[in-house]
Amino acid sequence: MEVSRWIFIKALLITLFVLSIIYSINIYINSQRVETLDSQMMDTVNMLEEMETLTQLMRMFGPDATCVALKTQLDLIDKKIWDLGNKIEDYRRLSKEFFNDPAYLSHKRKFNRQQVMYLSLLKQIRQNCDLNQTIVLYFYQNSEDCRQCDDQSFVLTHINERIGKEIAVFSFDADLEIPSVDVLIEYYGIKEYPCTVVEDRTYCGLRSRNELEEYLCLENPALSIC
Amino acid sequence: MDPVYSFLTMSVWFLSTYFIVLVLLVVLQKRQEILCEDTVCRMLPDVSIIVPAFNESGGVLPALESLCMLEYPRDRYEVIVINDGSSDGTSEIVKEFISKRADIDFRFIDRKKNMGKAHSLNEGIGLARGEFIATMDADSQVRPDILSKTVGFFKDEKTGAVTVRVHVRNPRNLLERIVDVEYVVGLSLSLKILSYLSSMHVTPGPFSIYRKSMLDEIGGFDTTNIVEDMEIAFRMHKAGYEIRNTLSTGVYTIVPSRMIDLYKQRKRWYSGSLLTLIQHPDVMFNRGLGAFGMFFMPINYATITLGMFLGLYTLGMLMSKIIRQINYMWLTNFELLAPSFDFDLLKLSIFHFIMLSSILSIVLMTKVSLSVMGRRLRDNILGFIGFIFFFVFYQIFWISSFCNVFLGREIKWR
Repeated sequence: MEVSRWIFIKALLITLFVLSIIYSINIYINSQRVETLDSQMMDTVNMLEEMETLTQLMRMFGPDATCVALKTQLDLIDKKIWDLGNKIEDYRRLSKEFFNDPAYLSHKRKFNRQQVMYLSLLKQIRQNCDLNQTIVLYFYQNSEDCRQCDDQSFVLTHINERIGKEIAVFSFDADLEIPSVDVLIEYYGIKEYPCTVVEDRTYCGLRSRNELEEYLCLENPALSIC
Repeated sequence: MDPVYSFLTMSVWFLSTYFIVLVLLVVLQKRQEILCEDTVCRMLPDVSIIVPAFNESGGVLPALESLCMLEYPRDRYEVIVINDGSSDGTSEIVKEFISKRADIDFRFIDRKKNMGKAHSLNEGIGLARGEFIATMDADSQVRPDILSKTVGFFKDEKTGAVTVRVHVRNPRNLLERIVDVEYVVGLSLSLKILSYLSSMHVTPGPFSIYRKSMLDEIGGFDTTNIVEDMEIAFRMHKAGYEIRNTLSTGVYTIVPSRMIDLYKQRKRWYSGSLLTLIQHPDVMFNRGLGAFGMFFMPINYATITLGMFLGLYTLGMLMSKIIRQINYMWLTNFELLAPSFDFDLLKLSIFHFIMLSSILSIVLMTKVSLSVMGRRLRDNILGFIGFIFFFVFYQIFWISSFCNVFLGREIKWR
């Protein structure tokens, strides 16, 4: 052999070095993801607190004084929460490619709680302000246990993209065992997944776009798709 | 992400990156001598050049003409042309050419029955008078200095064969240009590096020169093998001979111009290499064979096998994704909404970086190969770009070859 045997070791060390660089970049990006989610969660918490404050004010001064501000706040938070939910899912999926980061589970728990909070505020606001937003609750399990949950998520995302301003979609992960989410599961009598609740009516099992649009129109014929 | 998929991706990445890094390190260490090696031989030995021809009426004349231009004493070499049962007039063309070139020691064996390349080569070896045997494809053309620059390597008694740089002759269309780049990387620089590591696994058919006593010792070419130029390399290693390579001279060969022809060629090469491994399993992890047995063979075949499984797995995942997407579309009445572009750098995963680094290392390896070989990138930029992404097709060729071997299908030389 016309080259030193050390060259094999050198090549191995360089390859390991390149691998460690890739691994480090991945760790750095992962930490950035966690930071981004933390920051966006904080924004959502601030918005929810603002809504809660406005709801308190509504009780004190009546709807006329606060409904305009609440509707503006709702428009903002609705989009923010939807994007945040998607981001948590996307980031969690990416992180799972190499190692399962528990930070994402913690984010998901917080996010589910925030949604419950948002749901209860939205219901209160709807009672007092002239708001025609249809509420859709979607309960799922992680995709390994529930093959059809991904399909149902896709259908709901599709509908939300079409008429997002007319409906408010809340998605809850039943696997996380969050007490507030468990109360909703119990209240709506959910036994199988995926399960969709349109304005307090429960529809379990995979539903197509046509079926869901039919349920939505049944509850709110004023929707643009009806 | 599926753990099997993660394992396959990481393994293939690690093995291929390690090999590329090793090649680049050797290039760095040997950069002064890669293209020019002192192989001067004062006593020019007798050489017999064997040219088997089967239906080569279109390419045999330029091949023979190139052999008439050799810068080597005319009384020191002979050319043995063997017509292997051609039906396209090759025999007449060769006869007419030879009759006009009495200045060259031509011999012509006109066999009516097609027996195969290895059989023709063995027949030529039996008739050869030279101390060294050069084998040449009838559709190739050699450089005039091909003998003078190769025979010097045989000063070392351990040298059993010498191979040369393989050029693609007049690459015209995109496929030929891609293969041209592949030959620069795979059949030129990589073989040179493997020769430094005593791990050359093939003596390419377009032109290679062998020590006759070694061929007699190991029993010539295996007539049952479809890649006889690879099989003989395995036996040479087992017999303790070295295969050397020089890039200071070369041979020009033609390559498939259509995808289907490239597929057939590669199916033979890749299936043949698998069958040769089955024929010689003892080369794997064979300490006696040095780096060839302990390094090159395990790494090469592990990369190929894992790469093939990765290809199959990726294909399966892609199909599953397509089926799932169709199901989604069906659930939403096939209504397409305007796609939303949300570019987020944080959505890059470790596998994007693995992919990126793989592409970068292939780019680097290709660029270095072109540069070492004195080729300018701008002369074949399309071939360069095509080659970077052509690995997808190589995977398909490998999968098909594995299936052929696994199912025991017969693979013909042509």
